[in-house]
Amino acid sequence: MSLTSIRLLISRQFKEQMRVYLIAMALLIGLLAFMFLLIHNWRDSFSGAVENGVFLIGLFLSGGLFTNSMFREFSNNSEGIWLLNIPATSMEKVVSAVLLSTVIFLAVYLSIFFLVDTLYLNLTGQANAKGFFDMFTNGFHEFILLYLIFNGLILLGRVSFVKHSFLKSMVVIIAGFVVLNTLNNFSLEYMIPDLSVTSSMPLSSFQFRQSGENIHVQLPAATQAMVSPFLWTLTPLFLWGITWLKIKEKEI
Amino acid sequence: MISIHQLNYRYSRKREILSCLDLEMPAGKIYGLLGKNGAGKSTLIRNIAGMLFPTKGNCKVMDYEPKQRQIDFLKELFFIPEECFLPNLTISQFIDIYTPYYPRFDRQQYQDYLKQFAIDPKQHLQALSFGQKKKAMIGFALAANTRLLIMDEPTNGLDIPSKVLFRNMITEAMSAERLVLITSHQVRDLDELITDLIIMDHGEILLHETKEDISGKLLFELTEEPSQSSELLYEEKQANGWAQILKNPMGISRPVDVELLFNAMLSSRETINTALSTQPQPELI
Repeated sequence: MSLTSIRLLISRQFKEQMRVYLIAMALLIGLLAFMFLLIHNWRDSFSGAVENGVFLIGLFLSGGLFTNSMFREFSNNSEGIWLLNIPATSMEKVVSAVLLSTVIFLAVYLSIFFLVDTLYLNLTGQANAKGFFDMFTNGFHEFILLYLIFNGLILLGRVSFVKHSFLKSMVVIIAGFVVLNTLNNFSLEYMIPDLSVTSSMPLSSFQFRQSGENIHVQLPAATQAMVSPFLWTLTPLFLWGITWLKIKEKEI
Repeated sequence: MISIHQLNYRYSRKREILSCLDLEMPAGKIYGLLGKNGAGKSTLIRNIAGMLFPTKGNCKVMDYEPKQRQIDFLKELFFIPEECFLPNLTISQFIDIYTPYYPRFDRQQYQDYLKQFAIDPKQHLQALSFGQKKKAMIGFALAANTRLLIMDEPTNGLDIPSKVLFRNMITEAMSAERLVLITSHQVRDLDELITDLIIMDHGEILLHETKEDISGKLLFELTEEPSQSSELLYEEKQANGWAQILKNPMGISRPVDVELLFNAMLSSRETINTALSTQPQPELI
């Protein structure tokens, strides 16, 4: 794998899509500003960490659409042939797409979010009272790791579906989540039939009700420490790996 | 340079596109791959370019297996599909982005081609007409100086002066190390250009000969009346008379009428192939 080749591929993507990216950045600023305006106008209706909500909506919406713009060439035969014929390995093509849609995208997204958030807090006079957005409290940064998995799923969808790949990927992601959750609930009920499970999260924790009290059960710290790297690191790597294989085997 | 052995390609269990193809194509030649629509030309060249993978058999290009799409193989290949894609860039930006991928790319050569095609390098690629896009891409492909150049229906969308220019450019850009493979169903466009002829139909190779060999073994004539000759292999009525293919036992050298031969291969394959497999007598002085 050549770093020069990856640099050339990233630069190619930027130069070819520069106009679209600039418009998308302006749109993102507008969207974030609109959401902040919305929560400010209806501040009595929203409670809790509303900034976190805005952050996540912006991250997953813009990140999903941006990731889906990688390998967009495969939705058209002649463009797909052009991409496959660029003298770079499939691995270099995937690595450049992943770097663009994770590292570079996150850097740009975080900068834009903090810029809009700072403007919002200053304009509404909340800068001193509330303090700026901190993504490292209460494990909120784990959503960034979740974004990597989401990125892997969208990239895989992009190379798997020829037309309307973003919509199809989203349908598969939502359906997959529902199926996983149902199976998780089903297996919980099968393993512990006497408990009334009120909520659960696959590979993480569940909550049940006993004597009018909610009891939260989660994996022991040592097991969690084993599961976390798998979930947050190996899952995106696995998804990017399948994307690489799909491109390697791509026929047009 | 291209070696194909027992190549099969099917899109599905029921739909076989190529069956048991054998082809040897050395470098230094311009091959014309001719066939009707749906004959399997595009499928064959996509197998050679590594865009499709053979269902059975082998395809080797410059000792590479195209389906591996190795970087050194891709650096030596330029493939222009029928509907070529050009990115959203100006020609100058296009050159800056894509030339680093082709080690032997000659910028001056490309500038000269653009000049010949009357295309302004400052123009935006998306603003070019279909024919101009094709010309910009053909010029880039030639200037990339790859060892293998594959073009699918390159003359579609080119006006008559551009077709002439295209033929001249290809001829000038040829070298002993280079192989140019062109598909077309517009046979006349390639008539003067190609050195070797491959005719395909229903996924099979009907003919693979050099034009020189064909001209030594077959005689192409145009007469006002139908031929009564015992040497006649094929004839058809044309607007200006009767076009005929006759046996050429004396090895008289005449230009090959590729379109006539193409029609003859589709209707009288066995007769033509038998005549081509017979050794002609040396031409009498």
